[in-house]
Amino acid sequence: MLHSLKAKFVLAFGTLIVVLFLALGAFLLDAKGKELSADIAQGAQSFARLSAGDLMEDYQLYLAPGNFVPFSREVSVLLRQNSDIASLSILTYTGVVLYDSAEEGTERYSGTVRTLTDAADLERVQSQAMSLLLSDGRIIFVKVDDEGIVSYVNFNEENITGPGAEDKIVNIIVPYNNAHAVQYEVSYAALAERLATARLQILVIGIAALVVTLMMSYMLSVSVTNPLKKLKQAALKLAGGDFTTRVSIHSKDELGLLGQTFNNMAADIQLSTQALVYQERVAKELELAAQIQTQLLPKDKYVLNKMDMAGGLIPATEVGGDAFDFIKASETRTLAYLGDVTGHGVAAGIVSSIANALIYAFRGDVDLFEMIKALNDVLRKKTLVNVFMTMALFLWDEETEVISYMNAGHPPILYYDAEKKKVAEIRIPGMALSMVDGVEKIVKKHDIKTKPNDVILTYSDGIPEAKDAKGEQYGMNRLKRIVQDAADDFYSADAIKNAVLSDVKQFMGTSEQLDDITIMVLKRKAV
Amino acid sequence: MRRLLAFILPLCLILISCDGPEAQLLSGDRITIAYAEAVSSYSPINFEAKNRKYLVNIYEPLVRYDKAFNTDTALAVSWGRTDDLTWEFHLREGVLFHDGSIFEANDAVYSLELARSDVESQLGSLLSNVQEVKKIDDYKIEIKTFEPDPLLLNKLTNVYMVPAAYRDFDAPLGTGPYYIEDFEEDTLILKRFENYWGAAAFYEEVGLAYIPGVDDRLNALLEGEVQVLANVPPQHVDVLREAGFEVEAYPSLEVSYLMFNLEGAFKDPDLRAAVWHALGIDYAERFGEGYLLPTDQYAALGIFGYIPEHPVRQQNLEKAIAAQTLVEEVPELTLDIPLGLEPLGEDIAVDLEKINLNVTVNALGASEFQNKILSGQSDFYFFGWKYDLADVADFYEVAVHSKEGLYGAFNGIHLEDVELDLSIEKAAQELDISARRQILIELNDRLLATQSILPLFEAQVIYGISPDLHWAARLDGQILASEILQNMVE
Repeated sequence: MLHSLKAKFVLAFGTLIVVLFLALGAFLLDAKGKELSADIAQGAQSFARLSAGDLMEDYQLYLAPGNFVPFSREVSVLLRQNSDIASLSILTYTGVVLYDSAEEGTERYSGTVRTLTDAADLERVQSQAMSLLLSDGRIIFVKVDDEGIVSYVNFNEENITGPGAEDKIVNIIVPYNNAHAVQYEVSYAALAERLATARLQILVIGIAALVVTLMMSYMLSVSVTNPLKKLKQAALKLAGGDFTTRVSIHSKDELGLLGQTFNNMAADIQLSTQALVYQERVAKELELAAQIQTQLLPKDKYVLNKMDMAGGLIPATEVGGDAFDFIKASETRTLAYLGDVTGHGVAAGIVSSIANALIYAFRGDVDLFEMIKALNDVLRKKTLVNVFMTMALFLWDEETEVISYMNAGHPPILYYDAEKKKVAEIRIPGMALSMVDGVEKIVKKHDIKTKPNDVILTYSDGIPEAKDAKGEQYGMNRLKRIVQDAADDFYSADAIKNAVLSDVKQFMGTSEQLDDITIMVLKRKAV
Repeated sequence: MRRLLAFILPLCLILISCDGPEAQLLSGDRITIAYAEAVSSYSPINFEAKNRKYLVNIYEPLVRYDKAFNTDTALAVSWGRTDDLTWEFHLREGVLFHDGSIFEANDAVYSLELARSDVESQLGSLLSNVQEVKKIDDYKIEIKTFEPDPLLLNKLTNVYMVPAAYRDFDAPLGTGPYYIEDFEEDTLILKRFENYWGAAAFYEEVGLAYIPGVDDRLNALLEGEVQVLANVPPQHVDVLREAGFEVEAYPSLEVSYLMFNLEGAFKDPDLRAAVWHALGIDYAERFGEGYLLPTDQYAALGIFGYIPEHPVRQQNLEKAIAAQTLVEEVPELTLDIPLGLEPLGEDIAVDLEKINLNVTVNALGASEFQNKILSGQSDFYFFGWKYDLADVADFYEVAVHSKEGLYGAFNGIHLEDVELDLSIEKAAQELDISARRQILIELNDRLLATQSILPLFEAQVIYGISPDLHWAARLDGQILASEILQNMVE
């Protein structure tokens, strides 16, 4: 049973309330007892002080002349005014009892003369001050000065300790007119009765409070555990894959906030799951696109009698925007190109694929200007206006051993002159395809009469702009140097390509590849 | 002697302040109480008021008054009557005289016998009802009276306790909070009695100085040398208030009357009625500047026998004239009045002129005035009474009762009314408070009905108090140095 949070709540609250109530009840009863006792003491003293004169006047008026009945009636009336005074008696200065209400009920006492025998009692009767006999036997005289200040003294008017809250008064003696005194017997019977009443009242109130508290505890615990139960059930459904699960908790407290947070969490999980599914689908499609693009690219090497060609492409994403190809245009002529569509990814890949297909389609027409024009026209019409493509386009003629080079906004190519054993940049004017109409009028053609071991290298800007972990770019100088070294050592086109790509990758280290890296190497075979 | 002085001085105190003590704070450890009259005797059995004002700080009685004029314990801690004629007193234990001797029953018996029977005692008549004083044990004595005496306690407040066999009255030896240390330049130097049985006095040293001049006392007060001044003349009240002193008026227990001689012209009840109704009620306002209270009963405020809701007499000229017309032969009247009160006498004369009564105001010196009124020769005269026994019966016995033994000593108007006399005698012996109060009320009304003694007004005593002092006036008019404290609150 105690495994239930609800039960723990109820038990804890109930126990706490019971303990607090018992402590409070005991404290209140004790305080009430002292208060009532003090009330009785104070009330009895005041009553005695105020009534003694009237009583003695009645005594002189009725009893002294012998009229017992009216005096007895006046005494009864007087005693009814204070239930804490059990009886009273009238004494002379010498201690003779003239009247005692406890002994004289309906007729006057007629026995032997009653006289105080105790010297202390006689002192009290003969004092000028009211005196109290306490339950512990102490006698205290109460002296009130002319400013109303009360002091507690002994018979000789020396200050002594006054009655405390715990002290009970047995009787009070009030002197009257130098010849008499009135003694009042104080009863605390009413105190016990009033305490019992107070105890009963506290008990009833306590039980009522306990019941109410337990009910409130139960309601409170229910208000806590019910939402928790809802949350538990919803969490189980969520764990079972039902991401549409929501809880309905309308309270404005922490549990309401927890419920709202749970709902938010469930909604987030639902969205995340949907996104994951979508991402998986996109990834699969990208993988497929990459496979298609890969198939569009030529094999790494393309070897002719006099010319050795190689190329490589490392896409930044699944689908790259770079492309290269070696296309046989005729028996003696071969087209080669390296293109770079702005950006990378699927859109760039599609454009580069279009370009690849177009070049392949136009391979019969070896007029590079015409080819550039056709490419530009198609791309401008069929692609987005903000998508451009740079391209280094080559036409190799084995008969003439000349490579015609046309640049459409692409970075300058590197030319390794085998005789001079030096790498140089070849820059010719040009503009990226799809930017403007009539690109063929802007671009220039540059023919290179090749010699054995000459190397022509073109690349996408992903190589010089590749960055290492520190953010430093790979740069043209590194590229030239590695090309120089590879060409000097008579590497094959494929070896030169691999040397460059390896150097670039090594340079980048673990830093992220931000752009497609593409390289194409054309090397004149040695004789 | 007490009675001799009582009727002469009261109004003088109020109107011209020829008497009055004041306190002078000289330093933190000493105050000086100055008096208008010099002490003439240190004897505990001297009963002159001027001496009692000095001695009250040195001697103590068995019973004393508290500030509200209720009897309180002093050197007796309890007492009571074992029968109507026998009183028993339990003496306070642990009380020392200033010489270190212990106060016991022998001392009390000796002191009482000294007061009631010594040839030098001025208290003899006061204690004439005391038959016997005897010791029961070391701390208990018994007093027997000839007749039941409801005023015995009041009388005992005037009997100072001295050591047994003490006779050197020039060297006071009491039990009070102060003892006499020295006398220098009209100032009696008192020193605080460190073995005093009660609460120690605040000031270690007290000077009781004799300063006779009214202006000197007032100036001393204004200059800050005096902190409390009793019997401030009403005309000086504003000056004191402006100087920053608290001014309080307190009942003086002094009532003033007009006494009509029943064997002279005022034997005619119509003449008495005419004067009774013709006199105004505003003398108090005119002469007392608000510090005299009109009254129409004989008792003073605060004493036994005072009737709280007694109506005040109203001037009624119609009744006065009607009564006057019944007078067969309108006499020429002489009003005897103490010197200093002439304006009051003239004012009364003016009122009586309105009913065609010619009154000659005859101002007399104290001695001459006393002789004149006691001789029974005055037509009508001014008479003041101070109730220093706190009971109206005192006045009835002395001034109303027919001259007979100790009764009627100041009955100068030939008032002889048997019923009044019987009531006065009955009141003098009635021990039951209620019964006695009733007798005194009836006496008041019966005496008013005779129209032989006309209550004029009751005086208040005015105190000027410095804010430096914490002190409350007493109804008995005494200034106890031991009750003066330094005010700690700014």
